[in-house]
Amino acid sequence: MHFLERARWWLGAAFRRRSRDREMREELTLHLEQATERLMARGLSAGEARALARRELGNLTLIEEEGRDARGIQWLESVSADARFAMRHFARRPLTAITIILVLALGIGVNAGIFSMIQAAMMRPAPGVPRNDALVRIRGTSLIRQEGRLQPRGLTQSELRTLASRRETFGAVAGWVSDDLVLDRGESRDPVTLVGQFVTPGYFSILGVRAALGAGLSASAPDAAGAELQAVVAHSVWVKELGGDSAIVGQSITINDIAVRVAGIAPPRFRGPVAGPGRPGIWLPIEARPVLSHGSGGVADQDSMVYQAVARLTPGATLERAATIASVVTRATVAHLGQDCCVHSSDVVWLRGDTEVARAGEKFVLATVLGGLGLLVLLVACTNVSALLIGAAVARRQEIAVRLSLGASRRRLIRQLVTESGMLALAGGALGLSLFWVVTRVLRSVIGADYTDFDPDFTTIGFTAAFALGVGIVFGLSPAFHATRAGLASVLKDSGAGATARSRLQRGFIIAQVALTQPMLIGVAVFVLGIASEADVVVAEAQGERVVSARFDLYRGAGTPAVREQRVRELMTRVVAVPGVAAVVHDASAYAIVDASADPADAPGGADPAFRVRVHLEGAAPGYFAAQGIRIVRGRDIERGDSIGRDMAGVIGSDLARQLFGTTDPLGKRIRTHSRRDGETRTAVVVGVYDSAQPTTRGSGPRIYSADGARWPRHAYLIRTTGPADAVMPAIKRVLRSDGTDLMPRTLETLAAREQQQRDEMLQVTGGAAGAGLLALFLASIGLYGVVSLAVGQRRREIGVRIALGAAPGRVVAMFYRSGVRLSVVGLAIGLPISTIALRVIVTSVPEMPSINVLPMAVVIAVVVIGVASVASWLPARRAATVDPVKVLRLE
Amino acid sequence: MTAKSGSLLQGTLDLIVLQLLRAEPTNGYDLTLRIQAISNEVLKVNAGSLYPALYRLERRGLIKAEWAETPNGRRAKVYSLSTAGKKHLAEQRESWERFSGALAAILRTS
Repeated sequence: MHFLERARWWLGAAFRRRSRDREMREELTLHLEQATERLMARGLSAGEARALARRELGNLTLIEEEGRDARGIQWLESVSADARFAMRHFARRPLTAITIILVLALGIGVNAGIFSMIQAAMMRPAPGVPRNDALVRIRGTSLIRQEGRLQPRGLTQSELRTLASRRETFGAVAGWVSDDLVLDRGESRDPVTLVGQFVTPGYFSILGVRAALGAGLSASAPDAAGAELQAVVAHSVWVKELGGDSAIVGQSITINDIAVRVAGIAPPRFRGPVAGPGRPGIWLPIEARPVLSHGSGGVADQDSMVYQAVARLTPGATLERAATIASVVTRATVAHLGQDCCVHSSDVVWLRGDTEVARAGEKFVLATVLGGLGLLVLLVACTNVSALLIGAAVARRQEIAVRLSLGASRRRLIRQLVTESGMLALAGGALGLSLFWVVTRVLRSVIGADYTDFDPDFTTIGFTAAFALGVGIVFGLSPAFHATRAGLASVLKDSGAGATARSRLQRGFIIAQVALTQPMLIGVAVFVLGIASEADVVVAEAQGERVVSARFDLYRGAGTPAVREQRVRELMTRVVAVPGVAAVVHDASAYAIVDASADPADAPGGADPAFRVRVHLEGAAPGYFAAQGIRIVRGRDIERGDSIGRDMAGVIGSDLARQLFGTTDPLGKRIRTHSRRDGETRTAVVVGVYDSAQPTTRGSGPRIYSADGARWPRHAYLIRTTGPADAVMPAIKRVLRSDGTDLMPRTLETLAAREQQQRDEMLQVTGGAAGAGLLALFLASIGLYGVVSLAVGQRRREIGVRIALGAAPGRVVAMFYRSGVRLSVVGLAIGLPISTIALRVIVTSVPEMPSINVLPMAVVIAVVVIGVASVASWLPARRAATVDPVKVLRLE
Repeated sequence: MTAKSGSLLQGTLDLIVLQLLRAEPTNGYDLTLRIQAISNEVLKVNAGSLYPALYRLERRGLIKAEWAETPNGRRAKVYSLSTAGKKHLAEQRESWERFSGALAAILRTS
């Protein structure tokens, strides 16, 4: 029979089972009637005829059974019967079923996510790029002679042009140059910075991407000077920054102060041919680059290494051939460039997954770590599920034994149990997949699409389904064998032939889980403390609201960085004149991390030169502390000329003063700084002490500030206002905008807002850790529950005997409860040192972390773990008290 | 199905059914009668063998089944030969004839 017909038959058999049965019965009834009529025609009475006809026909049920067999859907029926039976079973014990599904969903969901991530990083083209097996990326690389390291580089224009001329290999080549661009959205809204790609003709057609709205970039380049510039805008930028109105197509927007017509909107997910961060929000023809960069773009220069390139291979051309051509072209065109520093070369890779240079090793490590993590989570989930399944199977031993004794084959029973676990696994897989989908959606809205754009595709769904089914069968088989192994007599007698080795393994897993849970719980603790510590910062906020941090991008827009720096400086002199602005200073910047120690002559009580503190050396401008409203408790603020020769005049925090000089007056004391990196030793003379309880823009922690003009970041300023800065902000923005939007600062925010943002980010991170910690606790307690409940199930007879001999049910419960808690105590004993160390590392290495007292924290965590473990052990242990000795012992 | 002298050769029933259906579409009961009549009551096929055979042939796509009215107005399932069935029958008949010819030749030798 033809395959399709066969499939239709199966489907018909599966879905029309009932109607087929009815038809068969009808047919046999007719047969009977016709036979009866015929016999009556021969002269038999109606009764006799019917009886004879029946006899001739034989056993009706048997015929129907054989008929069904002949229809060939027996196995289908038994599977569906098993499935229905399983559903009834789950309905009776919904809690177990739900728990198993949840745990499996976690394990499978994590693995589906990891699979999808790895797949996106290795195999899939960038989001929004249709799959095309002829697409390649041509990458420029440079071997840095000194370091022996391979670095990515841009291709030159002549390289690109020569590559495009090799038509026998590269059917089409397109290149692009990425620049930061400023999109002006009018006076009322802040300009936004976008990554723009200036693309050569054919970019979109090679990738097979068509504009979702509008015609896209027209093929003919606007050669004539003053011709209208055009751009294609990314879908998300269109929605977020331009209001998502389709009328914008054909209208002008302002990019780098120049009017550009919107020629199209890119399809929703497309953000350039290369996945990952820094993806473009707008595309313009390459000819627009000199115009938009106000003449400073290096496109005219044949030898600027600025281009990235993709190509479509000619049918029949191989990747190896393409790579050979590319390196030949590179040798011919760029060999003369930068010969003393590096060797330039190029290669060709499929335009799939992550195509960045020098990422191969990283990719492997990432895949290994992620894969390992996924397997670990899966292993934990599966051992727990296995424990739960065995527990459930043991609880059903009698049912199974009865069915065995009634003649059910062991194979049949195993198949039924495996059907059950397979169904659970499939449900878990479906739930896990939806979990993964929801989580990526949430992540995307929180951290943006750059890292999270990997929707589960059909491969992922297929993988997950196959994976779930595999898990269900593998982890369902062993409980099924276990449950059906014992003979009827032994089960009914409950001789308790348990799988000791197995349960020992399981206990080991539980201990490991409890041990690993605690370091994760630190996340919860830090999370809670992070929220609690917000109250402390309020004091500084009043100051933070009056200080605005402005950071410019000197490498973006018109003119050289030096010219732009000058323009920024001029702008700043005008900002000082804005009413409400008290002062403008350069922000500080760290230039070295050194070991600081008190000069032996100045140290209190002789000297302890061995005592060193790691400090940051910061270059700060005069008036830096005053500008931030930070109190100087001793001495003075930074002044111009505080850096004289080798010795510095430094302002230090009260924390460092206390550490180095104790209670003595630090003013005039000398501090030795020693750089581990270059061995340089310098001396700083303390001229001022600031209140370290107030964090500076450089953060808290020991620091030495010194005026050192060469160190001030030229792009970062602090603007001090007399009142809350938000009121003055519009006026400041007006001034900053007056010299063109390309000079608008990259960030312009009050310190309070920045702090808030950092806190939010920290909350997100710790929130993630907390979630993982709670998950781990949940998984561990499920495992514990499973093990204790298995023990109770296996030892029913023993419990019965104990109760019959007079043991109080409460004591029996306590016995099992203790066995569960004992496991978690062992886990704690292993995990507590780990978590204590981890906690100490976190507290000492992350300066923003609120200071945490480690010991009470460890105790709190231990109490939480024991508490949860108690509940997880007590719930199944309680069941021991419900054992009826009469019932159990009657089976003896 | 029995013949007093032992059971029918495997596959023979299928051949008989196909051959009879080639002549004319028939329902299950009439098929039993016809087998008896044509074989001069030598072959008696009971329902327990016939219906599973019919379902098996239907599953293999050799025969088709349709519900139709019988002359006395009852709904009956009428089987008929499909194209694949005709081809199959021709093949089977040929191999059967070759087999029975050979067997006859062997039995003729004293």
